Amino acid sequence: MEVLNLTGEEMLDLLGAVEIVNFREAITNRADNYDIAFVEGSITRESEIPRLQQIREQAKIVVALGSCACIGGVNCLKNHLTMNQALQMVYGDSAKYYDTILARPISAVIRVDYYVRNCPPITSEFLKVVKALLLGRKPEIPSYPVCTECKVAGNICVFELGKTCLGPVTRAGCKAICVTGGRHCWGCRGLVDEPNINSEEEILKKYGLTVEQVVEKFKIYNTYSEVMR
Amino acid sequence: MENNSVLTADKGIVTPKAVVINKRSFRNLIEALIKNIEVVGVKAKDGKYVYDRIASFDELCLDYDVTVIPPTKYLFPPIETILQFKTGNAVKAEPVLNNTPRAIIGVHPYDIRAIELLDEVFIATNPDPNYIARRQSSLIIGVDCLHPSPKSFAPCIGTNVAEKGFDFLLTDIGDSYMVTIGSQKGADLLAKYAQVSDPTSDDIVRQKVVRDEALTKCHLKLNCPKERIPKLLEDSYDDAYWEKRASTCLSCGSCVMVCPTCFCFDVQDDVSLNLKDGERTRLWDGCMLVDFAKVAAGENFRHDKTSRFRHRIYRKGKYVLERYGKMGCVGCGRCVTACLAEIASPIEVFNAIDESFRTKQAALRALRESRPENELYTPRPAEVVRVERLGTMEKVFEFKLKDGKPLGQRPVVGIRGPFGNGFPISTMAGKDLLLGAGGTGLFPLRSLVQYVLDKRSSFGRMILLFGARSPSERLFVDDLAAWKQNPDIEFLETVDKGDKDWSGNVGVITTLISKVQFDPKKTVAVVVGPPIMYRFIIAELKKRDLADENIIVSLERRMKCGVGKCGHCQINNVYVCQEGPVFTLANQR
Ligand SMILES: Cc1cc2nc3c(=O)[nH]c(=O)nc-3n(C[C@H](O)[C@H](O)[C@H](O)COP(=O)(O)OP(=O)(O)OC[C@H]3O[C@@H](n4cnc5c(N)ncnc54)[C@H](O)[C@@H]3O)c2cc1C
Ligand code: SF4
Ligand code: SF4
Ligand code: SF4
Ligand code: SF4
Ligand code: FES
Repeated sequence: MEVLNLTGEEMLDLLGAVEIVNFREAITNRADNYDIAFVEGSITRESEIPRLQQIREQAKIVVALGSCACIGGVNCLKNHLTMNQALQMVYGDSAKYYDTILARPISAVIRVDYYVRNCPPITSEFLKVVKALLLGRKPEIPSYPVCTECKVAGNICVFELGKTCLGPVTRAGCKAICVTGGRHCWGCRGLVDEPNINSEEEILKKYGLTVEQVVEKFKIYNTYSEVMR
Repeated sequence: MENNSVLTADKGIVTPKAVVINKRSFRNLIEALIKNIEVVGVKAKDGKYVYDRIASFDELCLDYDVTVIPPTKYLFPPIETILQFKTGNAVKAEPVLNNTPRAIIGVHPYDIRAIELLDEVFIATNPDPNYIARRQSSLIIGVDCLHPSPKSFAPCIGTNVAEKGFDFLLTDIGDSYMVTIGSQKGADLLAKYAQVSDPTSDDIVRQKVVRDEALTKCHLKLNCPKERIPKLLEDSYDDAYWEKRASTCLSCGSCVMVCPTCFCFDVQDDVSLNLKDGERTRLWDGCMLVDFAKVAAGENFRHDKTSRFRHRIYRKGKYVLERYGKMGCVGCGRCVTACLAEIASPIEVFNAIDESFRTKQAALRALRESRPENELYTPRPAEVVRVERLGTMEKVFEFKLKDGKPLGQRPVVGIRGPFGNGFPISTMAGKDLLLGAGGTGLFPLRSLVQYVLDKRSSFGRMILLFGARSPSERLFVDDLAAWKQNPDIEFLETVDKGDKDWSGNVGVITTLISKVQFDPKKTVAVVVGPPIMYRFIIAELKKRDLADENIIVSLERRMKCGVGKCGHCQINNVYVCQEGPVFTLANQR
């Protein structure tokens, strides 16, 4: 888990500020009520729903952590298959022991207060949200597209270099790390609130993608979003 | 060196002086600067150009077209800490100023003009210490743009030349540079590190030639004088163009992030994990971003992309100019490249609204020329404020103009209407009449009733069915009471829902039809009421063998103009306000 990659000093500071009462992957303490619950992963099984509802009841604030929890993410790619096909692909012969449902973000099941986006989540953004919540403030997470941060980073737009990008409709906050690192934006942080999908589609087509390729591009992380349904 | 005592302060105006420096000497100057201070300048990157730290002279590129991000980022950075603070027992706040001596090499004239605008914004009014600190510690070494980007339109704005705002500015005239000295700092620098000479007349001619050649490479044209842009914008606020142009806008902010004249920002506070230390940062922000104009409680006063798009263009061509005396666009063309939707170009927008404006003007002129002036009148709507009944046939109406102005001497008062057609009295003559009125549908039918009562012998029986929602919503109660007593009219009424005082019929209007007998061969039905009522009444009448030609309806539509233009009443090719509102069922089909 990415948050565990904090520096020693950051971790100590964090532990000084909060008390971790239930962390299934790291420690085993349990408590009845939480101030803040961070939930990772998307919902893919029936049995996860009541567990999540219980967390909602016990926590004052629920924060979705990572692309899967926030927007459904890559897990939703399986929604394009029948559920039996998906089970066969993943578990082969032992498929009959598993149940699976259409993958969905946790906000499809319970009310979510805040989101720490990205795949994987960025440590600095996680800390920013924790600090804001500790101060009782609303975390300031950008609502604008990745392009804004990409320009601030001084990047040359990949469209000018003959590539394509989902930056214009994807929510910023990652400082456009993928473009800065020589790639393009895949849309892992999910769509902005008012994405101009028609315009982005036209642009992708103008730069040589077919309709199918455009859809594939959106599917990777944003299968679950309104516009894909 | 004599050549460097060039700045003659004459009544406070600094006169720039020109010298010549050969390229080898310029190289030495830059190498010397690199040893002493931070040097940033234009570098090639992936076939484009960017401003970056320069470690050796050879990295520098001075014959570029345009950079991705403008050099203003060194004076007004994308993110800048402006304050550090401590909370707790010992509250402390320290401003953070950046005084790092820095030379910015290769700044094009349009960017120099943008810096002059920023000076106006951040120095001339409400001086900003952070900007001033950076500005004062920066050397600006400009270079004439001899290979302009095809997207640049600086000459249209007049920003392809800069006479001040730099420490010195180079023009590449072959094996040497013509140098325009713009400040004492620039003069001192040349004196310290370079060998310069006076320009020969040949050098001066060559400078003019290369500048003129550069001008011919700019092909974009502004179709109206640039002085007209503010007024043009003022007159085009409601032009349909804005919505059309902005429809593909991604609200991505690219156009404002790459712009040298955009200076909006956000201020944010960040505390460290110990929740005691923190810093305040200033970050670039932009009016094209959705939440830019969001205020408390989520209200956003520029919530749609059209108003944001228009706002940016108004800043570029009007608002900034009016406030700071300099155009908010220097024509660098960066936003044109950055905008994937291909809509951000200010010059394209200026030209388009200019054309739209001219088209509108031409249409108006044509209209005026086609009709004598005094025939073109503008109606001013009035309302009836008082009606006085003088006799049975005479009334006095008192009008008031809606704009509150007096009517003036000998005014022409026009009364519009009646619009459309009326009931086909001639085809109804001699027939039995079955009138069905629902709710306010009684208004037009009451006129018909009165007409028939006046000309009683011309018609056969008259049956009136009236339905109201409730007893309290019955209209013309005096008339209703009189008709009940009148042997010339067979009157039946009902209410959908009665009350304690109501002893009459309860039920929808169709229930009345079964209570009346009529001969379908010699009866004409006239129905006026809400749309839903037509459906049921008509079905009932048809069951009683009434032919379509003998069923007359009056259709209600939301009419806005009454003269067949606005289209609100249009049903396929029929304007209800013109050809209607009265139709027989036969011709309505
Ligand atoms: C031009 C303008 C006009 C306005 N007019 C009005 C008006 O007429 N009426 C009105 O009600 N409001 C108005 N406001 C809004 C109002 O002034 C501020 O936005 C509001 O008071 C700030 O409160 P906040 O909760 O948003 O705090 P923030 O903006 O989040 O914080 C303000 C400051 O307090 C610090 N701070 C916050 N919490 C803590 C903490 N727990 N510990 C330490 N430091 C903390 C922050 O670091 C920051 O320095 C206006 C704002 C502007 C810019
Ligand atoms: S590379 Fe992508 S994110 Fe960056 S400006 Fe271009 S489209 Fe936007
Ligand atoms: S650039 Fe796009 S894909 Fe990469 S981290 Fe940011 S949002 Fe995710
Ligand atoms: S509006 Fe566009 S062309 Fe004008 S200065 Fe800004 S980036 Fe350059
Ligand atoms: S005008 Fe173009 S660059 Fe500017 S926000 Fe809209 S789409 Fe982005
Ligand atoms: S311009 Fe910044 S608050 Fe008005």
